[in-house]
Amino acid sequence: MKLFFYYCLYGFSNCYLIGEDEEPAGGGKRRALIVDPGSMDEKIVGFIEDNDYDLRAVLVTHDHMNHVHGLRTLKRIYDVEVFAGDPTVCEERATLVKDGDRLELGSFAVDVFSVPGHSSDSVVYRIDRLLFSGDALTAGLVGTTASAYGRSVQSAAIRSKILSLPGDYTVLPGHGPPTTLETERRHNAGLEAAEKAGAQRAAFVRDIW
Amino acid sequence: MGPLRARLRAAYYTRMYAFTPCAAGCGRPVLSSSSTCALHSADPTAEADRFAAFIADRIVVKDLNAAALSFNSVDFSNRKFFGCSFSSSTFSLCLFTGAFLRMCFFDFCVFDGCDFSGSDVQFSTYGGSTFRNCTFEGSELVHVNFNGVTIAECTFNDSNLYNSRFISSRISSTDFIDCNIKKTFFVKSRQERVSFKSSNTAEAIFDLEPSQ
Repeated sequence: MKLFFYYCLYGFSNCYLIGEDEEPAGGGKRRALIVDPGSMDEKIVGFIEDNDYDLRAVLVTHDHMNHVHGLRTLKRIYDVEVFAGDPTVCEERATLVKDGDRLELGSFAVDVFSVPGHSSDSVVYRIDRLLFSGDALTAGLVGTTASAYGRSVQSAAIRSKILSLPGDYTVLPGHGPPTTLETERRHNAGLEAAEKAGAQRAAFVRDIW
Repeated sequence: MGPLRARLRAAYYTRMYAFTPCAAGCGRPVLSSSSTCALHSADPTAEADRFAAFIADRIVVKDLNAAALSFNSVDFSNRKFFGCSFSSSTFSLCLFTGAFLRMCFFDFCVFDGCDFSGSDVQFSTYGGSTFRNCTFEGSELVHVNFNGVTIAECTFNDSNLYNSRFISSRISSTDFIDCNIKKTFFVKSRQERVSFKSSNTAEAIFDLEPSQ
């Protein structure tokens, strides 16, 4: 698997392109996927064309403009299927994915974990030992949420679905540097803060009743 | 487009080392060109020497897994590393001057007396590592994960730390003089005798917002 990283200055987000190493057994071009096309310019298109990839799919971690700003341009160039936790992304139709889904895209098996909180459609994709976590989990932090309830739901989903995976999994977030799950288990300040706030709320409720 | 902006737009790719589980059945990935991980290797010292010789012979090193090994006085300088893992390794008196690292993993490592000056590190992680008496002077450390690190008596002077993270870190007797720390996170970082003289501290992030 080849992984291509691109830093989108629009929204300061990370875009990833994952390509196959070898051509399919039955012949044809090597296939590729894009995760979060925050912008689409000649560098990404050049990488696809130079490697003669057959771009098949776009995986969207959540429908925020800084992660999908390049989607329309991409769709004008390539005939791709868009997968997201919402049926409409950036006013484009998408194939809805839900928690526990497994997508077979070429030689890539993509597992879907729903992690709402930062947005209702936030999902994390797993391909092999790579986790594309969008804004739900970034190095040392969790996604910003609109309410304490959202934060609580998000933290619970991250703990049960993501942090339960092996510690050497690589986390490729929507913003900032990469990380590993073991690093997040031990040093994620956002999760610590959410846990502390949850404990305070529980104590407050106990005091009232 | 300015040089910094041009560098930030730079994109790069890696293949990432292939995951083959250790023959001992521990679930860890094997060392490159081996059938076991370092913990189940018959001679980890010989494995480290093998990797040191391998690196010495090359300018570009790709997709190497050299996790949980111990390197003493090894010269990694002016080499280009792509998609390599050195997780949980120990580096003592090693040279990384002018090294070029992309998507490399140094999480939970120990660096003692290592020289990273003039290195160019992007989109890599040193999460949970310990640095003692190390220098990063004049380095590009862009999109680098230093979360949970312990840093003592080190210097990052004259470095570009754009979009790097030092969350939950412990930093003591360390200088960040004349650094670019725009969008650098120091949230929940415990600091003693740390100098940010002439650095753009107003553009760094030292506290979480309430919703985070």
